[in-house]
Amino acid sequence: MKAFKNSLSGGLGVSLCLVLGLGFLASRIPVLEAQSLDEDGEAASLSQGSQSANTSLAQASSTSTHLVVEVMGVEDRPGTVIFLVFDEQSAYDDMDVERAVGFLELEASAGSLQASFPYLVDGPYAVVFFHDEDGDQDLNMLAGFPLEGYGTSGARDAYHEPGFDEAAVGVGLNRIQMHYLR
Amino acid sequence: MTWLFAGLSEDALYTWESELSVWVFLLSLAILALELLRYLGMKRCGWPLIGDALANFVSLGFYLTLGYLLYGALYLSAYVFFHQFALFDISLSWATVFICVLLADLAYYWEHRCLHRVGVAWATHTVHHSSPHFNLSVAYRFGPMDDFWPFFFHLPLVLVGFNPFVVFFAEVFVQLYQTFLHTEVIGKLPRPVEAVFNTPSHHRVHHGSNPQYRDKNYGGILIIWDRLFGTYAEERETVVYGITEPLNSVNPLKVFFHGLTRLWPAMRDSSGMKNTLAVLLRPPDWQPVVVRASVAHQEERSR
Repeated sequence: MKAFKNSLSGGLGVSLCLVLGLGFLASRIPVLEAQSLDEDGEAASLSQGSQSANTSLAQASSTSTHLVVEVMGVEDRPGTVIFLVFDEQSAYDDMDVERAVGFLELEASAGSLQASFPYLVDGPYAVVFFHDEDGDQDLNMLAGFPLEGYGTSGARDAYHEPGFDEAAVGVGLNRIQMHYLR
Repeated sequence: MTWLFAGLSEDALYTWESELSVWVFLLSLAILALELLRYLGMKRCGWPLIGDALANFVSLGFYLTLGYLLYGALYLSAYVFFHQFALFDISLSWATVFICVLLADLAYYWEHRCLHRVGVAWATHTVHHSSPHFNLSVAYRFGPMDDFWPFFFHLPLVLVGFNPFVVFFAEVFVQLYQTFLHTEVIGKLPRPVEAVFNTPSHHRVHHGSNPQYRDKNYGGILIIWDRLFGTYAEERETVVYGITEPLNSVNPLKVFFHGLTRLWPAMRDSSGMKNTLAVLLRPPDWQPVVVRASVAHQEERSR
């Protein structure tokens, strides 16, 4: 301890090690369930899935053996969130609903939303979803830009359209951001 | 304990940050009122104290304006940009926020040490230290570039993988904690607290211009960094607040800009590129060898 007490480089070295070490530790901390703020600023658990898909907290943990998708940043707007899951490149590229291996429609609620697919136990999967505000079962577009909230697994940001390989995720909990351009 | 590991959204964290800032500000105003009543009782509540407190809040206005117009947007967008090169993938929960606050406190230690020991950084931080008083209003006394330097010291946390919003929250949290250290009302806290945490006593030392207190106790929330890196001093002798070259003014403009207006002549009068750079990068008490020699010579002659 005396060795770096009066040495600037020693102190900075120790600090760098702490930053890297604790940063690594932080990256190993799992996230248990979704939480969001309601209007009053109070934390409220919003980990609601669909009854038909048998979502439960235990299943939603990152250790589950089937596909679980958690949508982050759902805005307080009406309508539903529609999920499509693909397990092969061509179906994903064509966005062919007929060949999707997973389909789910959940009531939208502000904050986050969890979708569980108990029958999807083998990966990899590409997941796409959108916030169907007007209930037409379709993602409304204008000049090539989505007018409703949307998200894709593996997307770095709102404008990134990942290919199947980039979008591919495994079973367990996958947190994906919803983007709204409007 | 599950709340600690539950997912947290950026929006939620941002709400916490703004709520905390507002409540800390309101609470400090209330405590400041009590402090002023106490000084009134001690017959120390004259214009020097009131004028200084008012100048402090005007400097806060300048600081916030610059923050909104200049630094704020740049800061966050640069963080979001650099986050794509992050080393680790760190999720957002109170547990990771806690670790980030701990590391932001360490980053703050080095930032703060640099603010004191690098000439151009001291030119802004000297504002905070130039008050000869010590009450909660001093916590809100800021310089023109106080929002600029923290960027570089907290960037490593973004590069390690903490969410930019978390890093921002952690920075603000470390700052808010220190607000309540600026008071003479609290003596010393129980020994275990004084051993680990930064306290009003430790921070009075930091604001002291007494020789043994200068450039000591840089810590934000924790004092262990100072104990670890050899910059700790205990409060024993009565603290004389302020800077070695007193300002003697409560004019908010003079207060806010005195660091820069003092740095400029030092740069102008320095001979050669090397000396100019030294004025900017060396500790504020640095002088060229020639000047030091002539000062020593004059002292010799006057004896």
